[in-house]
Amino acid sequence: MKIRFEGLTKRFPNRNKKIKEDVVAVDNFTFEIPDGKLIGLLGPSGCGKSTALNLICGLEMPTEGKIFFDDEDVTNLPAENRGVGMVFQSYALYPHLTVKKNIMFPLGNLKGDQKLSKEEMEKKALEAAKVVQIEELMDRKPNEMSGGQQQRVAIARALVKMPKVLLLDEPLSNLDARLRIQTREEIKRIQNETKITTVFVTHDQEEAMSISDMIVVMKSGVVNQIGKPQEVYDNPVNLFVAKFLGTPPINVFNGEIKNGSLYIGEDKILGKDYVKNTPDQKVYVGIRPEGFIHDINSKSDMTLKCSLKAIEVMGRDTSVVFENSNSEGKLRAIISSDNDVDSSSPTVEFMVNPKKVFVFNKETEERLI
Amino acid sequence: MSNNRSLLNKLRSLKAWLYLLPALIFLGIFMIYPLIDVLIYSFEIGYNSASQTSLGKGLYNYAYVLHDPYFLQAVKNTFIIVIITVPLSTIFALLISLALNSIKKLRDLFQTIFFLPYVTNTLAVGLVFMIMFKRTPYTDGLINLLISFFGGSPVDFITGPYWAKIFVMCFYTIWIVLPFKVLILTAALASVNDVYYKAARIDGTSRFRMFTTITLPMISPMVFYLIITGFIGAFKAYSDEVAIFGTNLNSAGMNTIVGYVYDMLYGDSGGYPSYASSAALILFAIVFTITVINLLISKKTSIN
Amino acid sequence: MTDNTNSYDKIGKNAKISQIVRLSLTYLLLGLWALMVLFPFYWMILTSFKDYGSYNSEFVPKLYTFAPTFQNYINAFTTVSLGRYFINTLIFTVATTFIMMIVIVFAAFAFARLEFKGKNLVFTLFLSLMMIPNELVIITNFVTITDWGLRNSFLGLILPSVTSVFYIYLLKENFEQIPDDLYKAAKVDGTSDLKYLFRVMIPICQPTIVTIIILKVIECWNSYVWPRLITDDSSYFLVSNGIQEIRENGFGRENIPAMMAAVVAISVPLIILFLIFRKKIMAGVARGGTKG
Repeated sequence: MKIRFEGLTKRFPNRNKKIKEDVVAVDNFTFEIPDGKLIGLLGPSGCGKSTALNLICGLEMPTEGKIFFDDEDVTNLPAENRGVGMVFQSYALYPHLTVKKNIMFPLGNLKGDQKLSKEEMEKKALEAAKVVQIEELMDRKPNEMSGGQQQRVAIARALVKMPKVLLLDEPLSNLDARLRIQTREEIKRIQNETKITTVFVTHDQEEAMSISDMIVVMKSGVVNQIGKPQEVYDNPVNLFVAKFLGTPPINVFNGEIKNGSLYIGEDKILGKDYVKNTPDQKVYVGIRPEGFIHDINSKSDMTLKCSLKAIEVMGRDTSVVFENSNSEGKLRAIISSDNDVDSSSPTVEFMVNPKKVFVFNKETEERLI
Repeated sequence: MSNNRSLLNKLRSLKAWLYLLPALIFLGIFMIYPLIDVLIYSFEIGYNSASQTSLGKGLYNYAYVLHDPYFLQAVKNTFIIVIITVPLSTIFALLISLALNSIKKLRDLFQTIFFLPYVTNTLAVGLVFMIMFKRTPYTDGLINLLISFFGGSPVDFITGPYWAKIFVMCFYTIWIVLPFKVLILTAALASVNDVYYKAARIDGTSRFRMFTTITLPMISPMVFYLIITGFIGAFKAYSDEVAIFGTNLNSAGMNTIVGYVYDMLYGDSGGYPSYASSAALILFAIVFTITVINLLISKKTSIN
Repeated sequence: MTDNTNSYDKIGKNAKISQIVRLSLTYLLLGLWALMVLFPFYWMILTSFKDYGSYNSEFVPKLYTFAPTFQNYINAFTTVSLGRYFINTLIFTVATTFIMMIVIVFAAFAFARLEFKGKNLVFTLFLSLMMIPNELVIITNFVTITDWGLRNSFLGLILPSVTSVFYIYLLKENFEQIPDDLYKAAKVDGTSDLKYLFRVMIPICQPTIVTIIILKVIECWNSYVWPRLITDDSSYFLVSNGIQEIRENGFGRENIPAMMAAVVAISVPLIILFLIFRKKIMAGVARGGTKG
């Protein structure tokens, strides 16, 4: 099932009672989530992504705008009637019930024609448990299981009623690093098998990028960019999105477009082919760590001169840590480990890969090039 | 060397006992000694406080107490109070706490108001209840006027029929015990994580099922605690009765077991510590049995 | 399709309506109980300001009065020695609470912090004492205090209630939550046990201590049974006994406005205390006290 938002907005009164202005947690959402896909709702904490999830499942009602499931307007439908499945950040497993009873719980709410016999409920619960591979844990209580197992139970409970939409709120945040990678692949597999439209919320861009069919990047209630993870990474619409995606993060410099070329300080790094017709102005220049080219033999005049701080060998790649007077703090370049950088030298020079360089307006921070 | 160490240990032990000493002295004199003493009293026949002599030992005191119509009346009254007020007050408290937990506005105000009876002097407010319910030659009293207004005929709740007195009694008892129960249950309800209700809502759970399968199991330890302490408290009912019916509870027919103990000990009919001891031990046996039964039930239900 | 949308709207509307109904019923229930709780207070204050003559002439009691009088309060404090009862209760409350705090702090400290032979045995014994109801031991205590000739004296009133196994237990549990390292550090710095108790443990456990004090003060202010047994000289009466005395013998039986004035005077101190320390008191009671 696809989900469509039309001007969806949610405002809260400010917690600080002195401030009269409302907090806009979700600001004018208008887009569509395609059927049967895995969507990552991504943004820093407090950006309103959990509110967006609560609006989809009906735990909160929007201030303005509409939500459609396929073509049906469900805006005023309470959570009880929306038929979505949700996995909470803390899993919300009922501590006094066994795994089996937890999974069967949603089935017990069915009424009228849909009402199931106990055998049918147990059969369905077992099916759901098989999907998440916990069928041998059915008689345990939640506190007798690991975090990863609890997570699976929570997913099984959300799946058992065959929801039209599956929502996951920070599904991996309570797991340790190793389990996290394993579980996110698991989520991908389950989504692939069930083909249920799945929306998950996360603040971890790596998590979102690795498994989503589509990501939605949010900041302070506003959707900044929607697209396939790679597209968004390669073509960020503004400085925020560029900074938010990618590890190590993008390097940001104060730069300038002068005489049709791009400068960082006195260093011209890209020429007319890149800048095209953009008028002269002060700009922010973002360069991905992998966008630096280190070539001692190159005779190019377009290099960025920096002071070398450290070289970290990571096996496949080498990470060069450096500073530049036009940027704050430490900067980082990832280059192939074949490339010898003279670690005793106080300076280092890079050329840049124009595909990995983004130029942003100094005021609006919107992408220029 | 080792001598030194054992000496040091002894000194340390001595110091600890010194810290405990005040508590031990007071508990010894006012708790442990009386405990033994009360047993002895209860078996001493015809004990005379003046000469401190008795006619012998036996079960006579128990037999006397168990045949004393005042005691039987007191047992009856106490059991009625227990059976009516414990379930009713627990259910009311649960209802009020649920209501309190489901609102945001005015919640603090309501909580404060509901707690007021806890900090008021039982004897003092009992007097107010007495005046509101009492029918005198000068006035029918406020409650009776209310009854007349709705077409009933006035009743004297304080010196009138037995059922009317029991009604006032139970009403006042519930009024007095509710604040504590509401406070405890509100705290228990608030401690249930909201996320369980959210999860249940998304699964389309009805409010009733949410209450029976989520709320109740999660607060059941507190409910059992309140039931057990409620039983114990209600069996010890006394000062609430005095507050409403005055000190001469026997003549009002409203005495309780504890009241009987005190009356035997002191007052117009007093001077019989042996009878008082037997009655107190009978009360203790009843309370103890019921508490054990309660604990067994609570254990059984919490395992399931 | 539109059918569905329409029925969805209906479900949404119904849900909203039933929520409004539910909320109204909730407030109605709460409001009703609030009225039940507040009315006796209103009634006693109202009656205490009614003139004796006009009160007795009201066959149908009036819910208001236009001629409030302080005469009842003057009567309450002059005809019977209400002031005396107040001072007695104050002395009793302060002394009992103070002595009890000393006794239980030392005992809890010994159980929580010190090592000695037989500690577990003694503590188990203590715990089993929690089950013993007051009614069982009060008989002998009555005889004991009478034998000591302490009837109608503050010592007789105070002594039996200066220990509480429950409070020792409560405080001991709290003391034990203080990390061991703090004690070791203090020992290394050469702090004596007593100093450690007063400078470190008591300040850290202040919330529990305040809780216990609050509970004890309420208990003392309202205590009735023991004072009734041990005093028959009205110059040692506490407020509870005073009010009972007033009810049975004071003012001539029918001066209800004066009685109510006395009731108001007795109730007000604790209510004011409660309103000031509302949050603390409610949290304290919730943490672990049962009344009586």
